[in-house]
Parts: sequence; C-alpha cells; structure tokens
Amino acid sequence: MNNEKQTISKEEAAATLESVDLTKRDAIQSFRIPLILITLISLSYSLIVFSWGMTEHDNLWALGMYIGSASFGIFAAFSLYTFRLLGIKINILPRSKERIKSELVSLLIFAVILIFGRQFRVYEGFEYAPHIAALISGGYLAYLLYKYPTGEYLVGNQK
Amino acid sequence: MNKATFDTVIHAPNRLQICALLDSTKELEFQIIREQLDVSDSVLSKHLKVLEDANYVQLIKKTEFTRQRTWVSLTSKGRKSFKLHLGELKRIIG
Repeated sequence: MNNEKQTISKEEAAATLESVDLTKRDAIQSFRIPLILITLISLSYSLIVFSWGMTEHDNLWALGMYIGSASFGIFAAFSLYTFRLLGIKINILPRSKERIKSELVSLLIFAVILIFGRQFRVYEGFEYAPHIAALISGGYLAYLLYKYPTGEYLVGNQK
Repeated sequence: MNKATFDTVIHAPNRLQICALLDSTKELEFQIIREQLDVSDSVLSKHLKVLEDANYVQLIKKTEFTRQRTWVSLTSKGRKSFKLHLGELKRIIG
C-alpha cells in the first residue's frame, strides 16, 4: 500500500498544504489550557523572577523564590494533567529543529531578563528593575502558553 | 503543470488531517481526533486501520479511571513519511 503512487497539480498541492496548516492551527487553538492556569503559572514565574531580583542573602524574598518555584512546579504539573484528562499528551521535549531553535531563543530571553532584573538593582541601583523583569517575563510566558499551548511552533507550510 | 509522485496512504484528506493532528502532539485520544475531524467513529476507525496497517500510527488501549481510552500516536516511520509528504508538496509548489 505504501508503494501506491499518484500525481497531483501545483494548485492541489497548495490547497493540501493549506488544509494541513488549518488543521494544525485549529488543533493548537482548541488544545489551549484554561486561562486561570496560564495566569497562575505566569504569576508563579513572575514571583520567582521578582524574588530573585530582591533577594539579599537570606531575607524574606528568598522565601518568595521557594514559594514561587514550588507553585510553578505544581501548576505546570497540573496543566500537564489537565491536558491528559482532555485526551492530549504533549511533547515535553522538542522534536523539530524549528521548536529547538524557538525554545533556545525563549530560554535565552528568560535568562537575560532574570539576570538583568537583579544586576540592574544590585549594581546600578535601579530599584524597579525586578518589578519590570517580573512583569516582562510573566507576560512573555503567558503569551507563549496562550499562543503555543502544545509547545509546537507552527511554521506556515506555504512559502 | 508540475507533476510528482507520492504516498497515497497519507494523502487522503482525512488521513492527512489525522497525521497533522498527531504531528502536533505526542499522543491523542480517539475521541479528540474524532471531534477535530468531525467524523463518525466508524469512519475514523477505518482511516486509522489503514494508517496502522502501513505502520504509520500506533493505537494503545488503556483503562483510566474505569474508562476505556484509545490513545493514538504517530510512529517514527509515520512521522518521517508525513514530513516527506509535506516536503514533496512544497517541492511541487516550488
């Protein structure tokens, strides 16, 4: 059966690729986790970034980091469980080259925000740096979770 | 008109959509695929059987919370064939 062959026109090929894109796009949109979970995950991550920026030795903000990390882990695990209940198992580790590239870029962005949020306060004396870093990283994470709930970055097939 | 040859197992509209859905995830439950495609159980079963016979998908039945669930996933051969198929379509478009 695998060896059955046929021919198609350029127009048919374009229409087929468009339908594949549409199917993936619809699926990604319908596979989205509840907004409340997206908000809780993002807020937990913001708490980690903010606490890291404010931590001085073992002051109270160190506790904020621990609480943020624990709640982030719990909410992330709960979102995976929610996916499973919905009948979806997502790829946690990236498979495609596009996803690896995109995740490395995102990782770099998160790392830069995390480091600069603290460095600007400690060395430059800019007190609101952790606030801004927490806001940006939380917002960016919420955007990624909303736009790419399965972690797959949809690249248009037709170019 | 550009002409090309490719695998008809994947090219059938419903089967192509099944592969597209499965390519976005690790595994999907039978009911989710049926809802996404808006087809009946029998139609979906028929298409999955064709894909399973070609060793493109794997079906695993599990009982979770006293409920029977059928999880469907693309095999590595199926994933590779789907990518090759899309590559072939892109090549036709040029």
